[in-house]
Amino acid sequence: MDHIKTQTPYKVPNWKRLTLPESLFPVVSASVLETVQPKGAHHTLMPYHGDEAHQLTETGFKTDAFSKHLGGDFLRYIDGESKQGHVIKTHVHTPDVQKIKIEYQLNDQTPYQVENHLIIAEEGTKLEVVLDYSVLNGTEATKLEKHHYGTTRVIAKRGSQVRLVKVQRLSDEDHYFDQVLCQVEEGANLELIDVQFGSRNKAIAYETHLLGRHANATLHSLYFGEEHAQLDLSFTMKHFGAQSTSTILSKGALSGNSKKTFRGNLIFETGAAQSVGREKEVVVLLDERVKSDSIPALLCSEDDVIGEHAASVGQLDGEKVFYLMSRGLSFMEAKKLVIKAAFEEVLMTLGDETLKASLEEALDWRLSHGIQ
Amino acid sequence: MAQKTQIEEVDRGIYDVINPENHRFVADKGLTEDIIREISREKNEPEWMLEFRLKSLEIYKSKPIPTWGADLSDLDVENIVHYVKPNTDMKHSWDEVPEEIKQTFERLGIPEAERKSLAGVGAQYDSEVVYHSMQEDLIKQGVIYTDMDSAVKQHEDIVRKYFMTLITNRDHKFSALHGAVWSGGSFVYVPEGVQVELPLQSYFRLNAKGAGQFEHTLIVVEKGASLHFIEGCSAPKYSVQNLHAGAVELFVKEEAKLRYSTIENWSRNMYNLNTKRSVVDKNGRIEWVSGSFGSRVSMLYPMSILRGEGASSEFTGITFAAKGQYLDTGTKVVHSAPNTSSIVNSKSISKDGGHAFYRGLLRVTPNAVGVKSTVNCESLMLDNRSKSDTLPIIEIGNDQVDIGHEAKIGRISDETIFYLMSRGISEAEAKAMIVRGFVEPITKELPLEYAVELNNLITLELEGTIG
Repeated sequence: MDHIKTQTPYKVPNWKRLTLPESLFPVVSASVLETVQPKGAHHTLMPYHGDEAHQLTETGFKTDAFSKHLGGDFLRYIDGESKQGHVIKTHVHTPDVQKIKIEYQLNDQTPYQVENHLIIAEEGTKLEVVLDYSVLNGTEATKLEKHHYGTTRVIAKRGSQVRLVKVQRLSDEDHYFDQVLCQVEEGANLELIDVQFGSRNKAIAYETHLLGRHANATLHSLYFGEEHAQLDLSFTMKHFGAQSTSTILSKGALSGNSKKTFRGNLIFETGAAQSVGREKEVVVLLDERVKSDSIPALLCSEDDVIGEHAASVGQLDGEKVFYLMSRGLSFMEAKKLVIKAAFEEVLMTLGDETLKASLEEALDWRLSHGIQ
Repeated sequence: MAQKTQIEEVDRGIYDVINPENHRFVADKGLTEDIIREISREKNEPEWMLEFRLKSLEIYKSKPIPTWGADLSDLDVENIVHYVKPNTDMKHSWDEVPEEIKQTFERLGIPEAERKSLAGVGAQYDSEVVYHSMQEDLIKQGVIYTDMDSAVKQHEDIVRKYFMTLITNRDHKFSALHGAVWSGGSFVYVPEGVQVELPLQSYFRLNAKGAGQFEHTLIVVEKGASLHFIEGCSAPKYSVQNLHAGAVELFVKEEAKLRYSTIENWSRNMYNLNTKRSVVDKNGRIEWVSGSFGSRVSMLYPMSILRGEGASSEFTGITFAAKGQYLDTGTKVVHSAPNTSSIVNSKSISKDGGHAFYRGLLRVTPNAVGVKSTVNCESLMLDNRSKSDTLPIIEIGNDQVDIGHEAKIGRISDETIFYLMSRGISEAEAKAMIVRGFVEPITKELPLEYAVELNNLITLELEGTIG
């Protein structure tokens, strides 16, 4: 392809639990199709390339303080090579929620995306960002594999409220590597929602640093793993500030030959007194060939905290399915309904009705194909 | 101003008594082929064992020191004496054991425990077993309980069939080291259908300075038989580092049951890098009860391989990490047969800068359908200088499973204390109740004298008010 001039020196990470062929990240020159809504809104939107380091330094974002979940090369690659992305910054003294939705569509002309975002919610402001990645209609079935590599940095300043929704529904043979690094200051509230419906190989890493007192962060993750899909999901909440709270809720279903690794890290640093962190993972297994690994870690250097983790891995609740069948639903319909009900908890948090409806439709389609 | 609950250090008084060294044979420091030959010659071992030792030495030299978990950079294996033979032969009557060694074990309460409630006892002093006895009726039923060195000679066929087949000398650096220099330990064979009602017990004591203890425990419980085995460990504190790299291999046959209890209270300069493994056949059951209190560094993950249909395992563990201690403990369970089940209950307490790390693995292989498992980890932190980490890995290879996991970290909550106080209980008593309640699932699994010892180990000194 014209778009891949050469390979960069940066290595694609290869995890013990996600077997990828050894390769180097590509040099990408073009941007993928982008639609921004609404136009001319209350926030500032400007192009952002990671090499504009001074922008980042001024914000006080401490990239070095974050772990390298996707390998040391990944961030260097994105910061050095990204050609797409925005600085999204709220306007101060605007009481309303400042909303922005960006849709990216990969296609055969631009099958590679390397993007970099910087999201800043100023003190006391409210921001809602939706980043939606899909494949341009009509090109799903082409044999050309699409690749997404991205980093999003979020700064939620004092008392701000930020909601970031990331939706990935590329085609089943595509690749999606993405990381989100967040700093949450005193009294700020960050809500992260991640939906993974497509792609064969996907590795995502969210790391949130709760820096100030009463900082709060929640993360809702939803995924559906199909035939041959490999997922590596890494969610980290690191408490520095006192009385900070965090929640991780991950819900997913695995079908076919899919394989998932969940890494949930709840970390309490000294000084994070009276903080509370909770993580919960629920996985429904739909095929005898699936593989589900969970590595939940609770790392604690402060005694005056509450840290909890719970996981439940298993088949669908037989009693629920049986009850629905006794009401006239077929076995398949009953199974679908039970999974949809389980996913609804996360979908309800989306807030965007149009997006929710389209995701439900996508889920329906995937369930019809994924369940035997 | 809230004051923290003070939990006293484990009282090591009786454990830290150092006896004068009076050994018949001390191997040179460092590890060479000559030393291995010397150990084997001294033990008068069969040729195959010498070959096995030499092969293990070769593997040991080729393997790297593990880089995960504990920091082992202070551990100088080359300077640890690998084989120390006490100046006495094995005795079967307590009266014949030399006075000094006898006193040590009397202090630790070993023969007393035997008199009260044990079917048999073995005591190992440095590298060799110095005392062994077992009730007559068990001998009549064909139960074998002897030290490992005698077993190699007297029950060579059984030993050769099982010895280091479950923990091989290729598993990791310290299993290779163990294969090369192992000495002492217990051998138990329970024939088909025999129920050993009272527990058997062994006690390991490391007295020599800078010595390594590499005891090997091999237990075979045949079809339909049952056994409870108790292991205790201690060593006095010296300024040089000691190393413990023992191996425990447990074979639980069809319909058989084995309970393996350990209370480990090594001195605070010990590197406890022990490997324990069990394999369980159809409808068999393994139960681990594990208490880790001593050592400077521990890396200990007893493993249960459930390879027979319907096999089950239960792990109950408590770890208490105080000042200067890094205790990296946990358990591994591999479900490799259908309808197997497992329960893991782990508790840890950390205080005064101690670091307690729970590291666990639960693996279900693709053919192991109908598996049920629950894993519970709870950690109690008594101050914010200490650390407590939990890392339970769960790997599921098929969809016919029912797995539940819960982990909690926290301290004694003020609300709970307040509630109890509102019921007329003093603050000190309320805190004591909470800590006792926290360790209670473990203490109730122990034989009475060990439960008493555990309660003595965790002595509560309570003061302060709720601020």
